[in-house]
Amino acid sequence: MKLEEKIPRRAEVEDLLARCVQCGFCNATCPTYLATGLELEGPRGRIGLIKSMVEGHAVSEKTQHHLDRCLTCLNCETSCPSGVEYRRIIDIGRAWMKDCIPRGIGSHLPRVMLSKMMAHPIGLGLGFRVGRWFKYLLPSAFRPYLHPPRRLNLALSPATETLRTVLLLQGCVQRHLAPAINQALSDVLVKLGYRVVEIRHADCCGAVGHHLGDSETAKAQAKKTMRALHPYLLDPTLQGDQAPIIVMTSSACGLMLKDFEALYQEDLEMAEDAKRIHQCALDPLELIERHVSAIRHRIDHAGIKGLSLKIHEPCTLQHGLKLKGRLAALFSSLGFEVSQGVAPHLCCGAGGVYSLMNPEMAQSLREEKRRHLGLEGQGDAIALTSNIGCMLHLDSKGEVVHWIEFLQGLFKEGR
Amino acid sequence: MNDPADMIDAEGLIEAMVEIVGPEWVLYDPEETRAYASDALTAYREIPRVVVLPNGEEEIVAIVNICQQRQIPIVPRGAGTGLSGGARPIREGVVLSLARMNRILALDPEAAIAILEPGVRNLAISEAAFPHGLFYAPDPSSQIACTIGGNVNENAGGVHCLKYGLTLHNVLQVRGILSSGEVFECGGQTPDSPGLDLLPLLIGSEGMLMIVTEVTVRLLPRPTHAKVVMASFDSIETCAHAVAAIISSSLIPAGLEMMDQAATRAVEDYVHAGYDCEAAAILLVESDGSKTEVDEEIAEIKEILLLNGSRSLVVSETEEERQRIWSGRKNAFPAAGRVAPEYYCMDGTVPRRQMAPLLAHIAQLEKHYRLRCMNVFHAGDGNMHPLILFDGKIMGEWARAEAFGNAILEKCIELGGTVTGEHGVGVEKLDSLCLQFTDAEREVFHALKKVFDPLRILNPDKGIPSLRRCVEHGRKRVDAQKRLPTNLEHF
Ligand SMILES: Cc1cc2nc3c(=O)[nH]c(=O)nc-3n(C[C@H](O)[C@H](O)[C@H](O)COP(=O)(O)OP(=O)(O)OC[C@H]3O[C@@H](n4cnc5c(N)ncnc54)[C@H](O)[C@@H]3O)c2cc1C
Ligand code: SF4
Ligand code: SF4
Repeated sequence: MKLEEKIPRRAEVEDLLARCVQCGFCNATCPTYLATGLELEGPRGRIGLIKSMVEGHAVSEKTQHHLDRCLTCLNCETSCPSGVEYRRIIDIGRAWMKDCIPRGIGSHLPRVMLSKMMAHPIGLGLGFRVGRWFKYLLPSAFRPYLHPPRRLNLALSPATETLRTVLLLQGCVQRHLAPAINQALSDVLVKLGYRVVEIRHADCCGAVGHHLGDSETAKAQAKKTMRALHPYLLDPTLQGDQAPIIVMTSSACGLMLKDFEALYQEDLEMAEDAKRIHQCALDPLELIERHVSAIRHRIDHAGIKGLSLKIHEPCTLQHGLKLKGRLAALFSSLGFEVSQGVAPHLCCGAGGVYSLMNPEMAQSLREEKRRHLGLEGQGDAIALTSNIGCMLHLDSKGEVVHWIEFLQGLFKEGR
Repeated sequence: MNDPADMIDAEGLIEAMVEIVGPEWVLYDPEETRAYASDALTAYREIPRVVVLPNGEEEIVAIVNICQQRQIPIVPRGAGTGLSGGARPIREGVVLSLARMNRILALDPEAAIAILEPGVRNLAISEAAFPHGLFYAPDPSSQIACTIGGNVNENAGGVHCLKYGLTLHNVLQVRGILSSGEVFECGGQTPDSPGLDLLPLLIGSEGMLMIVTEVTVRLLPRPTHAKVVMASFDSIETCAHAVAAIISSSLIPAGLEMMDQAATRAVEDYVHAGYDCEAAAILLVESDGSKTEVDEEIAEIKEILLLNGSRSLVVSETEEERQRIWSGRKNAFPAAGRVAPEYYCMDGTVPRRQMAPLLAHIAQLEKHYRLRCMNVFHAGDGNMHPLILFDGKIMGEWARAEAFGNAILEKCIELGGTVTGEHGVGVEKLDSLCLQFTDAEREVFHALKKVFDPLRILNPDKGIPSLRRCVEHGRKRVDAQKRLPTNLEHF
């Protein structure tokens, strides 16, 4: 099938494509290329497929398949010396795909369900509960997501001095599966003196729909998040150097917040807010980094003696938000001996909802990552990560945890 | 809907391939084969009939046998990072991708060798050797992606080749499949093997003589220390002069690279390597070895550079700084992609003392062809990489770029140099080779090709220009009085 003559965002994508000189460097760090050796399963090939669409060549399910198989891990952006913005190219390509290739029901249904489910937090919560009862009837790829929620109940210690206001968006999946993560961040921030406001009625930030090429749902969800933030952006006490800091504990969602600006650049009504959110959004890591010396004195290293601490930096953190190496650096400056294992740049295979759609590839990447991190060996190892998707995907018995939850557990009594 | 396979597979070629490697590893729909239409020299494109990705020597033998019976040309492909169109497909032919064969078969730290499948990435060799304190020396800028099979076939070099040699000097043994389907091995793990030494012939043969299936390389002890000096010059001439001074001293730097201002400005924008963008040219000189060796050598290098007109010097203090300084040079080609939609990378060689005249000539050509050119090169061996910037979407720009490139290569020959340093001939330099070699020389090349590949199915239209091609392009070097031999076959 051919893309219509008038394709949306044509000029934009042509500009983006022109940057690529087809050197092929990016293939070398692309997990799907490394696994298959197929040009079409690498970034250069995928960029070529999208270029073919622009040039008016016919496309079919084959192109769709190769674009679907991309993890959106963005390793290719980090390796590209020409500064190609792969993420924008693939987003546009996927959105076109949706318009020109109808999906078979088997591939369509789970996508729509996932994308829409995120928009309905009550349904999502219920879905997880029902799913847990029937988990052995569901495809095995879904199982990691159906563990009972991890809970940690903590009393918040009062703030000493009040720093800036942090708006903590609760997200969707994580709220149901691991509510303790948001709680941990909130707790640590309060200990450090921030005023934390939990934004509960925002739901999914739109990342899931965005990944699946469902830009309408993504935009609707993003809008809801922006509406929830809007009053704070207007608040006269939160301007200038008192501007709020917007955080989400999952780095995939944090990256999505950064994307609002591009998503809404042509929407007169939303563009201003989207830009503010882009400016105010930080990954929790960037916030906590500022307080290394304060934290050092207040945590207890004794409890984890002999434990080998592994760091898994999710792709969204290292390639998306471009914070490569910073999570490892944080923990080593807090006095821990950490290891990132072999090939820390490679994706673990979670890729948002990728693991549900492409279970085989996801599974083989998971096994490789666990081996590389040394989680399959003898002895106690804990792996720290910054994204709920990677955490659930990689975990086998509770040894993969969100770094903020781990950090919070180290604070000495009463500190 | 008709399966495209039925429409184009009149001879059952696809079916036969599927039988050998399985359906997953055979591509025939142009929607998919288009991804293989070129290597990194994208100006030359051709969609192949079939792409096949074997896994193992036996499968390759079976594929070669099928192609041999049906006289179907085969174009081997590694990572497709080549810059001369060597892996550009032939329309009626098969592209044989070695990308799945990427295992390191053995790594013997005591013998300091590694035995590799052809699809192993260059950098992966050094990564595997790292824990043993060893490394694989040839380091083309594309080392993150390019394969050892491609390196062997292009005789790839890199910034460290001045001291450690090209691929040729670091490969001990090569094994492959001839177009007859037979296995052929040459070289050996000992320094001198009996019989004719055919290894140098195979290295750089651009997929025209055999399909390489296994390569044994020499590993070297990784130097414990390394530092790089970055020197700025006010003119290209003084810079070229300083290069000559270093070479004629007793030093052999581990790397000696020159970049002109257009190049430093383009890379500095995003690599932030700390280059002096005000200088007309900069020189990067590296020393490696033990700590004392490095310190002594760096002191000597600094002295020579200052004596020879360098206006300022920076020496890397940490490993990160050294890596950062090199990253600019290593990313220079793709950086061109940031300043222009396309670039055409040339690869000529001139005697070192001719570098300054060549650069002056290029500056004139820039005006003539109304195109910009940035220059980076392996100054140590006079291997130049002018990067001509153009926009293929503008009518006539590619043609101008191509003419510009040819004019540079002609000048290289005039100055006593060659038309290819390390990127090979492929399809790109065919016409230039007519200038470089006489008929007699080319006849020997063709005869050799015929010994290895009598049916002419291995990358048949690459590497060596036919006489007809040279005549058609009016670029023959032989003078008109000599009679043209008429019995030379068209390759
Ligand atoms: C940005 C950039 C920088 C570069 N820098 C350098 C540099 O510094 N130095 C340098 O030397 N080169 C450089 N190159 C060129 C290129 O990377 C090298 O020529 C490299 O050796 C090609 O390897 P490849 O695996 O990509 O081979 P390909 O491009 O796939 O193939 C190259 C040739 O080898 C043949 N071939 C490949 N594998 C086999 C096999 N197993 N058996 C038989 N024939 C085979 C092909 O038919 C073709 O003729 C650069 C390229 C780029 C894009
Ligand atoms: S995306 Fe970047 S690294 Fe990949 S082929 Fe294009 S220019 Fe090269
Ligand atoms: S985003 Fe990841 S999987 Fe997709 S092309 Fe880039 S490196 Fe490959």
